[in-house]
Amino acid sequence: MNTAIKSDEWTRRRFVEGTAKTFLGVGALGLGGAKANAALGPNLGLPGRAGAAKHVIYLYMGGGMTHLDTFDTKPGHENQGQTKTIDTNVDDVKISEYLPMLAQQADKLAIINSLTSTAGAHQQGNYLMHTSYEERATIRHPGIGAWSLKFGGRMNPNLPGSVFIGGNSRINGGGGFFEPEFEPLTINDPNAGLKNSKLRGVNQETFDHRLSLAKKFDAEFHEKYNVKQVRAYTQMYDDAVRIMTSKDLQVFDLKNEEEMTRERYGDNPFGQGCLLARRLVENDVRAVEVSYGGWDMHNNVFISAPERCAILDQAMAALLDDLERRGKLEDTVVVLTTEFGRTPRINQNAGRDHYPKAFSSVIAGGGIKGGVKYGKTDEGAENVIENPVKIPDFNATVAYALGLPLDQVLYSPSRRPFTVAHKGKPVLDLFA
Amino acid sequence: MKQINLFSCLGLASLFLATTHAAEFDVRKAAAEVDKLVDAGLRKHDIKPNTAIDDDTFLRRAYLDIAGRIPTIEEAENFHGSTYKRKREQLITDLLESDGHVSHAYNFWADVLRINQSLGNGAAQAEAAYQLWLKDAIKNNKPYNDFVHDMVSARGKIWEEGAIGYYIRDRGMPLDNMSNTVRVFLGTRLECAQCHNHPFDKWTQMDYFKMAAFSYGMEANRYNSPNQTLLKDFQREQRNDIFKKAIAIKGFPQLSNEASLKRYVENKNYQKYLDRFEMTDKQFRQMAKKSIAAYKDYEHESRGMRTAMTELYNPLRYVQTNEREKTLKLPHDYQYSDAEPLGPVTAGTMFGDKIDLENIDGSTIDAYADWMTSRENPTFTKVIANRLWKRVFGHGVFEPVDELTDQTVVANPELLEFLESTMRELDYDMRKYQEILYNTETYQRAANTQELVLGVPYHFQGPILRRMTAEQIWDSIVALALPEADSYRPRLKTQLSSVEKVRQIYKSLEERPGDEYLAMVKKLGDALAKSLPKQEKIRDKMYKAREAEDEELYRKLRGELSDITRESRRLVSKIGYEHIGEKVDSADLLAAVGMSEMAMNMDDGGSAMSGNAGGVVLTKLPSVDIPKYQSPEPPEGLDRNEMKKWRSAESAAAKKFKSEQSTAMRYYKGLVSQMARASELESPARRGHFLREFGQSDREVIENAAYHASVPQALNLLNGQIVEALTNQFAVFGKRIKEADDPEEKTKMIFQAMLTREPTENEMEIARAEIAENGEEAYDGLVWALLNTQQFIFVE
Repeated sequence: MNTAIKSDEWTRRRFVEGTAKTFLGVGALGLGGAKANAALGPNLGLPGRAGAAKHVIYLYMGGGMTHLDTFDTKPGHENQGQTKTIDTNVDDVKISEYLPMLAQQADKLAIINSLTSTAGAHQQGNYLMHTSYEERATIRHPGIGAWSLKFGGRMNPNLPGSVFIGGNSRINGGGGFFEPEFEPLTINDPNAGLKNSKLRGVNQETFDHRLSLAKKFDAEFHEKYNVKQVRAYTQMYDDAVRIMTSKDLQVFDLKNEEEMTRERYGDNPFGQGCLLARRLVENDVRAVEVSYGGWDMHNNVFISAPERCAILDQAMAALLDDLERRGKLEDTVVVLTTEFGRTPRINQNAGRDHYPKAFSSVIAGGGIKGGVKYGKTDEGAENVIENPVKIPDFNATVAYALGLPLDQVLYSPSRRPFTVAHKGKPVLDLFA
Repeated sequence: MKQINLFSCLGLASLFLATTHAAEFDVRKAAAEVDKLVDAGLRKHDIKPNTAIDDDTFLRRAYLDIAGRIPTIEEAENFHGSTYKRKREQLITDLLESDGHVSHAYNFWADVLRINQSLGNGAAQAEAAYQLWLKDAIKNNKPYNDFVHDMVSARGKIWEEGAIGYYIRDRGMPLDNMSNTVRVFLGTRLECAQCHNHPFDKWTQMDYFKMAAFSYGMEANRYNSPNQTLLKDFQREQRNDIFKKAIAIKGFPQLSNEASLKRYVENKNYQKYLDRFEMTDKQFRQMAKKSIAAYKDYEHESRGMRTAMTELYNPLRYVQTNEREKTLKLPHDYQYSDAEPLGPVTAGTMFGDKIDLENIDGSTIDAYADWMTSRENPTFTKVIANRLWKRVFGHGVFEPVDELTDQTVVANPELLEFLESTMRELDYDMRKYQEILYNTETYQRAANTQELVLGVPYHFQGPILRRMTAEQIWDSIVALALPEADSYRPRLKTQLSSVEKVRQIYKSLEERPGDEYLAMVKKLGDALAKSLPKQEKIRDKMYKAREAEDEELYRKLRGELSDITRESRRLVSKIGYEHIGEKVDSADLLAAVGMSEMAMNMDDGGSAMSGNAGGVVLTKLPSVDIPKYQSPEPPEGLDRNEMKKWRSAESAAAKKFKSEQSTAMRYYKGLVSQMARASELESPARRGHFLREFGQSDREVIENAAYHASVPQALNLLNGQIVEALTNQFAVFGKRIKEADDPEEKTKMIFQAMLTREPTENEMEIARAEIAENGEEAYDGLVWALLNTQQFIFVE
């Protein structure tokens, strides 16, 4: 008995170390590394979640997505302005006319209308949403992708554990204080594929030949400095060369999709990013964030919101549809969120300003109950009046869907204790 | 208001501070003393020192460690060709004074100080000023104690004092700012004591708050000026007038909406209120309606002016830091018996001398900075002496360098003591101090080949083998590709003018007489208000166009709407910022970077300059000549017709050559358009950039650079464009290879440039075989192969 457990453990560890060396860095991924300095924190007394989701696709609307003009419409109220409300494929669930395709998939969506926070500036709000912690100048907190990798490990040794798709120069909720290999791989342009992964100006033969030259020139150096950090590079080169010819690399190439499919997601970076996200999770990447900015609508909200919504609507609807048809929706949590909502009162520039007090987000897939609206704001969408959900609660819900241990404390290198959703409580009502 | 001398404080002050003390200092003697102490430590632990390194290894190491890049072929030739007996010593001195060193040290400090793009968000001009200030401080070798004092006590505006970036970086986070200050400069980790007594160290939460109270008054957010106060008074009067007209009852509340009415009605003193006004509930409510209507009127009337204010002050959000009287309070859940929750905190030092706040000369923050940077401060000197030691040798005498506790193990206490006293004796001259360390035999020994065990002290048998920093790798390639890479600062002009622009905006707003200022805001407000109904009309048309699915009309209207926005922005600039566009004296601009006018080559980027120690700044790359087609002599004995044919063929060949060359040139220009030393690019670079893949710090937390291997790094070197920056015929290095005479020489040159050494006989043999087989292409292959060796990216 004992031996069996040990050998299991050994195999697992070996697997973890093996995968660790492969895509992004050196050192063990998964709990192998974390366990050494992990300790149990307060127990929230939650039941374990069997059959938890394996992946998360996190669609982030940068700038503050207006709640009144997307998922929390208030027909007839003066705050509503131009935006009309439409029916969905679920009775009693109504959303904005700007999201007609998602309306047809409302049965997959858990719409949360009662998010509430106090962080009303972009960076602070964005950081809080991504990490559940307030931004501090003394530490960086990991995001949900890094946490899920830390607990679950990487699934495909030839691909990165988590990927960020978007043009942002600064992102929140990356690897945080975890080891560098927990940083997501960045894809700036989903159409460009994985950077530098193809031969450049040489054929395979020349490439191999040149590589052997490099090895010859470096032999003496390697003999002299047979140390871990030098050896790590040898390993890394072997992996890089292997990845260049591996089938997995095709995942990054959207040209492998039919033209019709690509069109279905929308011919724009966000749409194609969602398509890439789908391909990545299908190939066992744990976490993908697709970022879509431009929601900071201080002016002309009734002009800008429909434009942004059209792109969001098409891409997210295609993504949910595909995931379901391919049987991946059950083990993939799709999150649509943002840093805050926008002022219900329309300002003098026909825009809406920052409004963290009440806003909306959506979770779908991963065992979440669809066709639901959770929480409520008052008649003008100004105050949460039912089932308030704080940001850590929202993230705890996502983490819970992913089966992550919410009460497991991990320590930063400076020995400060942290948990995946900062002691937030998951909204258990949302689970089927 | 006093007239500000443009950029005066970004500039030259530190030039005059190099002490005579340091000049007379005997570097050799001090270096010998360091070696003696290190050797004693080694003997004590029965460890043999590593062997001394040869000139090649020294040259490469010194360039990388001091100037942040490998030496060029010319620099290597100069060094090897020198017959000067103490040429290593000379090289160290020269490199420490070079522009390359400024760039390299900038990357280091920017990581320690977390200088990221726009200092987080929205403070691009402050970032520019902070960058320029820091580079200037390094260039002029500002003594470390002044350097820290400048930052910790920094007040003023970005065009007077670039060091205020220190507080702008942490705006809104005064407690974290203190934690970072104490960690970086005093080597103590206090952040755990913010919420409770430190679990692993002796610090109490009270210690934390007493320290935080010193800098709590430092404010880097929006400011108030006399003109703004004037405007607020004006707006209040405007509002009062409107209310007075609407409601004749004196003292009746000005209600802005239903919610504020509700607050009155639900207040427990509501009845008293009614009594005071001798009103019934109904009367009050009626009057309240009038009040709310009056407020709407006010909002309508003032909307232009309010928009004007927002627009006018937008660029001035983060441009100054002031010290205010502000009392720090304990947290609401303070749990210890020495004080009450939410009680006020009096500033007090955590160790060392006490500061008597009642009897200080000047401000609290100055007293705090004095205490911090004092020679008597128990850890200030120790921390910098050890930090710079680590920078030179790759490992601290104690580790971590910023976490001194009672349990800290010092590998060699006598050495540390000597380093500390040397730093004091040098009056914190960082350049001199490093000069000592680089001149030691200890530094000039073979790199350590054993793996360090965490927590076991290292005794310095030689420096540690290190992977180059991301910037060292990038800058090495840049230096091989571009001429005068160290003095090439393509963003300098933009940075200077961005600071200058906000200074002019500030001047336009705050240095106007009050009445003129008010009139200006009113005028702008009126102009902006006029465009509001226009915008409304267009919007309505757009809603209709959308409904009718008239895409063409919609797009046309969208254009019109953007035109109005653009026009508004123009109005703000035209009416509001009268000083914008004023010609700036270029001498002032130059003073900001500490150079005389003669030295700066701002526009034409001529290629005549040589050397980089002369303080020449290039803001554009020197132009590269395109080679001309060399037409051969016509063959003899051609008849007229044949000659004509020959001529036309030649002319076609010349044309083809020219077009090929200009295509190649365009390619080269594209290739190098985004290249400059890392410190002169957007910094840190964007995610996904070569620099970031190799671990350039994101500058989010202190010293966040990484050195681990990753697949994207390998892919970058294997398949990235970067190798072309080396082999391209117009690149400095590529050109030299092309021009070299014979295969042996070309091969030697490639090894010299890439690895700073001659090829071994064996390597030469391999290269010969390559050349025999692949001809000219072989050279590209050699460069590529060497770029993909580990000896290229490790500092031996």
